[in-house]
Amino acid sequence: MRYIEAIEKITSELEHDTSDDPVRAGLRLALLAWRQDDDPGPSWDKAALAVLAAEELLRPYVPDTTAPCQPPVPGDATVSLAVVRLLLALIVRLERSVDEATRPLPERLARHAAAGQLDQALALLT
Amino acid sequence: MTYGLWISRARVHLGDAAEQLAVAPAAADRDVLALVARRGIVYQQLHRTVALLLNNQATGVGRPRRGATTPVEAVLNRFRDRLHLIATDNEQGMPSATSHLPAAASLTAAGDCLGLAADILASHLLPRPRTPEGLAIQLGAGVAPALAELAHATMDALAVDQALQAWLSTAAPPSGIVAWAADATRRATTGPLPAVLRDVITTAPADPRLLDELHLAPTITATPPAIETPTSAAATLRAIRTWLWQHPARVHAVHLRLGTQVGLAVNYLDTTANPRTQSAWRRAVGFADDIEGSTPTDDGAHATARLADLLIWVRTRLTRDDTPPTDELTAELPGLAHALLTGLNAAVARGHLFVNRSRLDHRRKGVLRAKTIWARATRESTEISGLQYALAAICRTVDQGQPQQSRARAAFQRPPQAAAAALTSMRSESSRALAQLRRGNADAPQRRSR
Repeated sequence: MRYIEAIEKITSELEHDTSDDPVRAGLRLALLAWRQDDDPGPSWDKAALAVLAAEELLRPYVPDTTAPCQPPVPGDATVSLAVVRLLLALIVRLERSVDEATRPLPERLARHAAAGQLDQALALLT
Repeated sequence: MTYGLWISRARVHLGDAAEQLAVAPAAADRDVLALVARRGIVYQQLHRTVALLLNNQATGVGRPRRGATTPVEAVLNRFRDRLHLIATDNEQGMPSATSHLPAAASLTAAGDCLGLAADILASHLLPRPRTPEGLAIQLGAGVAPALAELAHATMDALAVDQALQAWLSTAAPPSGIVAWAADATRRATTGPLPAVLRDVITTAPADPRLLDELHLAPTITATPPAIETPTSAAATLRAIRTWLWQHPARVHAVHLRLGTQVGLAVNYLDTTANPRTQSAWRRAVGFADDIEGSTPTDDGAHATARLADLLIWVRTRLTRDDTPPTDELTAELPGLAHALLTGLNAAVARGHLFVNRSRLDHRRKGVLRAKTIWARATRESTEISGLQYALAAICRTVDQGQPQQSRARAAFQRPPQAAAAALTSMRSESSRALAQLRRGNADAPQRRSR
């Protein structure tokens, strides 16, 4: 599967599904774009650190999933846009789950903090 | 406070003691006992420090250092042995006493300062080298210049002995205690020690004075509670990398993940960073993120929390584009890479790391989705070898040259200008204070100044 295709499907799942399955896979897809770029620049590096921080926060709470795909081609202009859309979907999903009172408070706090980190990443990429 | 500052303070106090003795009231037995006991402590601490530097054994008289064949080493060993003789000269076990003389207070302070300097060394060296700095010192980094400085400090102690002799001669009538004290000080000042000291100062190189900037070995539980400044951030990073270095068998996946992220983020604060180093940290972060493992406990959990705190602080600076002075922080990065690499190898050897994140597991809703099946990491795992290669590339930035030199460079990254400037300032202040005391006191022994 091509990278863009995978990221669009994960984004769509995040927007239309309530499962946590696509969350970790989405984070990893965002990081895959960063890892494939030899010289991503300061904004991408800082954004990646924010995504990594979100991943670390969510590690105990979301299932560990990956969406296998071919890595993106460096310089592909569509990648940035797709990653931004993915991050937006992740933020919305996480913020929505913060309000789910059935989840324990530490998890809700972690999700809120992770959403904040992704928001920072988004600000750096847009 | 650093080792160099404590030694410098000790020298100031010794100079004060010599000056104060010149104007002290006539010698009384009680004061004699107090001063001689405190003088003995000064020599004991000088010997302890020299012994720590020379052979990492504080009781090492008569034990020639292995391989001590060079003229410099022979001179340094004579220095240690002569100091030991004087430090253990009180065979009669004369009691100590209290004294209100200012000279007694100055000698007490000098002994305390020397003791603290020795404690700083011991924290790195005993019972075995416990830090990268300790290992570098054991391999000789900064040792000869430090011994030259200690020779100067011993000269100051001998100047106190000369002042003591002059003061003891004021006792009327001289008691047995005064005669005993005069003999002890005469043995120090007229024996071979002064010549040995001159040899040390002549033969030992005066620079680089790396140990001047040596702090007490950090511990993970004694780091600053809050990270607010680049200095406290550097102290935290120093404590973390020291803990990782000391406990490779307790390094977990989360340390590798957060440690590499800290490396990448700190490296970004350094606007002069080598792009290749930045790229290596980036690769390290990527590979470390693919590694899983169990959760650390106790000190390991504390190290994780401190890494997370530090990462937040650095990332906040990055996000605000607020780049504080980072010399102190970036100086710790090669040491962090070394410690992470050692910890990675140890964790792989004991089978505590897991990889294989991307193994295909199942399909769901038409999307090809992998659910990870973790496998025990081996040295051949792509994630492990990739992380090893990236960390090794970072280490290579300081590992060019002789292994001993590179260890010294890794342990003492920062040039000691800051400490040297502080010492110079302190010495000029103390010189001014002493000049006031010296006025009208032409008979006082001149303190050797560097």
